[in-house]
Amino acid sequence: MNGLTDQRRRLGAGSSRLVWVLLFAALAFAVVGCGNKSTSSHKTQSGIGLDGAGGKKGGTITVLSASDVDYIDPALAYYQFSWEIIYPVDRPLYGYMAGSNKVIPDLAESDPVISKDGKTFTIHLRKGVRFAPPVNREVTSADVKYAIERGFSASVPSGYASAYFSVIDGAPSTPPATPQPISGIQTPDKYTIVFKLTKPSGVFTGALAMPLTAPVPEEYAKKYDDKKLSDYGSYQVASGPYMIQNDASGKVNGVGYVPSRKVVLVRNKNWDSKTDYRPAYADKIVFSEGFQDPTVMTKKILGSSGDVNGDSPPPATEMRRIMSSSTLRKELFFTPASGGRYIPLNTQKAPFTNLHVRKAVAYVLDREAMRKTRGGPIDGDIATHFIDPSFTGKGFEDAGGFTYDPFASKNHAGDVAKAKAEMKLAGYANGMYDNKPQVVMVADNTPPGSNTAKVVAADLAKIGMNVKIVSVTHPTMYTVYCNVVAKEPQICPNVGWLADFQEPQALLDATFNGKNILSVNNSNWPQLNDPKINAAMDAAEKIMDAKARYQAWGKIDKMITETAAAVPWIWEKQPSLFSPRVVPAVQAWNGGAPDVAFMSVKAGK
Amino acid sequence: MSTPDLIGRGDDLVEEISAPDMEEIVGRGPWELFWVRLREDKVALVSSGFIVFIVLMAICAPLFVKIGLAHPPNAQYTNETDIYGIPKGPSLHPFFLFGADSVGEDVFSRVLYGARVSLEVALISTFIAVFVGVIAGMIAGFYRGWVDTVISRFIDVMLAFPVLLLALGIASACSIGRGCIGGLIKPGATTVIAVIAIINWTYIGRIIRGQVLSLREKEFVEAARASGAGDMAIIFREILPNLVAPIIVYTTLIIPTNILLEASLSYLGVGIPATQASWGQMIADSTNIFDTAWWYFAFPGAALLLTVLAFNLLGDGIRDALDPRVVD
Repeated sequence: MNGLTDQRRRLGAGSSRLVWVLLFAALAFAVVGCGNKSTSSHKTQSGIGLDGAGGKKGGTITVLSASDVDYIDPALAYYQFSWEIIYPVDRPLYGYMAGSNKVIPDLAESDPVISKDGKTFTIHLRKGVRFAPPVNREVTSADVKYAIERGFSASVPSGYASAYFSVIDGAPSTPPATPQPISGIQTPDKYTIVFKLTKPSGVFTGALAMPLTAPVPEEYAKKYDDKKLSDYGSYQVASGPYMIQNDASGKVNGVGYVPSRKVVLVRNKNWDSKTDYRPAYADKIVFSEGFQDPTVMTKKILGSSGDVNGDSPPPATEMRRIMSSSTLRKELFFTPASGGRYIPLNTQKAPFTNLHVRKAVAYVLDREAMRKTRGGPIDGDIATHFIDPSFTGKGFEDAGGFTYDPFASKNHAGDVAKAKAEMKLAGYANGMYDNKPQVVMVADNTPPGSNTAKVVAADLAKIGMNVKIVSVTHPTMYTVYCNVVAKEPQICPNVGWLADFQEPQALLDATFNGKNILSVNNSNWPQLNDPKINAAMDAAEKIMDAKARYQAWGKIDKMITETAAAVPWIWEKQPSLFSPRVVPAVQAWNGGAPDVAFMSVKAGK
Repeated sequence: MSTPDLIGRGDDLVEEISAPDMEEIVGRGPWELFWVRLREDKVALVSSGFIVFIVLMAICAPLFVKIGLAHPPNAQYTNETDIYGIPKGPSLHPFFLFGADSVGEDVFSRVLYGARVSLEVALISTFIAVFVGVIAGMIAGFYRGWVDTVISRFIDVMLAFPVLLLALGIASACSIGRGCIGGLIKPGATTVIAVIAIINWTYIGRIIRGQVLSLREKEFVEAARASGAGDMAIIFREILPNLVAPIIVYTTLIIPTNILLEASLSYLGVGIPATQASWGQMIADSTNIFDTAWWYFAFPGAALLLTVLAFNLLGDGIRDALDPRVVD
């Protein structure tokens, strides 16, 4: 699937302002208590499973966030924080339990029935699921069909419809002005929906768990969607246990949603708990926005005047304080993000056209020191290849798990001797680079990115590379330099990638497939174009059997790692800090964002 | 009940005092007077002492590294940060006098090397600004007419720009790629120097123009002209020597402003490149951990404060000594 070029999916700049990316995606080792050093435990220190069980019914939960949602319309929202709000409000065909990455039926009654050729998906819907006021009627398959169709229109420019749903037969390649029927989506009866695809797709079931498949009532939404830019988001109708508070006409803007101020969720009185797996303990959920200072946010949560961090992590200094306190650390949980950071080496520019020079860099980098620039172990595990621990059971083991490290060194501190040996193989006497041409690096001008760049530059000096650092802002780094093939320097030390999709394909295809090198908005930063790797990817995409597919991608990961076209250094984890008054629950598949449909207020609080 | 003794002694006294005193007054030039007055100004003396100290420290920075009192400014010591990457504070064993920064560099060493950058940038840019400003001001004031109009209006336009925004704009434009004006202004220190000079010459230009406007009407200028002296001779031989005092005063007063401007630009990330130590950048980097790592913020901050203060006080002292009519 091409076109994984949305900026949002790239890793943000700093820990305080992480524009955390949308993860569609499940995270296998889902959630890990901070007390456990490795990612091998599902339980937290205090023994609470992160599914929110054990609290009382009722009460109000407050989520604190720095910024607002990107869009309030479920088809447009493409940001981790927005999905935190959408999943308790809307019911896509498939969804996830809190604390789990397993795709389970939500609006659908059961798993899809897939035809032998992998091109027809038949799905039956649950009966008795009803829209919230003012629509009030039962949800039918036509509502799901319309929801997807509107995502392809120019009035509802979904950021991912074309990337993941264009395999549907008849999906428009250029967006029509207003929603138009798509022939490949059929509704033989009220409770059945059939998708006809143009080619077999092993990852389509995963796509059906994105918010785009949540039902939208056409007769109600049409008048909003037929405008030049739809404002259905301001009048949206919920299908989940909660709804954004609205007035009698259905308007949410200015009622339950005040941009950059708050989003208020109240119960959807038409929701029937028998049709849903969400417990929905709390009566009311308030997303309180504008907490730009992460220290203030942290202190409010620890003081129970907020219940969880919604979109940005506590700062390193607060994290250290929390980690060193036996009571506070029970409230902090880490979830692996599906993706990580790596140092791409531009394979189209000297000296990195030479495999041995790239390997020398892979050996010489002190990944432990690099990780410290982002907060050390609280930021994640040291990465040794690309498919990260969140893909456990989905390709992580096939790629060698925690043991595969072709450029190993003691404590990950780098191996100068081996690096010099590689430099000699590349033809540099004494193993030192001659600085012809000089290596240029374009990096962030603020910490932590600027510090990472400094560490990388100091390491490269050990093999004689006298690196020139150009310091710019994080967005400039991407849009002016690293994403533009003609202007990309030899090294971009502050890039990273998160998969939208819990499939290795979403992690590796846009970033390492030669056919995805784009002249602008490029994400194949090493500009790797290895015919063998390209061919292996094309073959792996078509494998319908999950196990065989993960094995194939595991192999591809190793192939990429061995080219040293990019040096992976961190598999990030996202911290969630809960107040002592709530029972925690996280969307493990959404990078550990709080799952308010599962969280509950503790009895007596 | 006066006694002849007393009277006699009084007469002696008058003679004793008056004779040598008269001689001394005759012998004193304006510069001598300036030195006498400056020496009496304790604050200015202490300030100049501190400036000499900081200059010596800056010059001797590599020496400190050599004898082991400081580490190389760009060397990273992984052990000087804890596992979360939060730096350790001042300690004697190992010798990190001012503690370490986020990547384990020696703050003491970086403060020393930062002084080199600050002084270098501030002094060079000040000299360029003063040079350009004096030339422009003299031309405008001496020739008047359309030349004056062009130069003065240009100065007015330059002064109308918000200083920091203009500096930010030029600095960011010159900080990418090969720099600006065909690579003449290279990214890094050169850009900062150019930016500061561009901004500052206008102030001194305007002051000099005003001075020249009144000086050119003075009798000694008319006398020179009457005796057949050319424009250049009048400007450089007659007028310029009379401008030395305001030039010196103004120079000493804009040096601290320029140190601050360099720090501000580095703080905002468009100044000195990240690999070079600079006070402004250190303060900027420390802001997100200053509540834990106070030393990272405090030492470069104190160095900046004291240096700027010292230059300002010395500048005040020099002004008072050159022009005693000004009473503070």
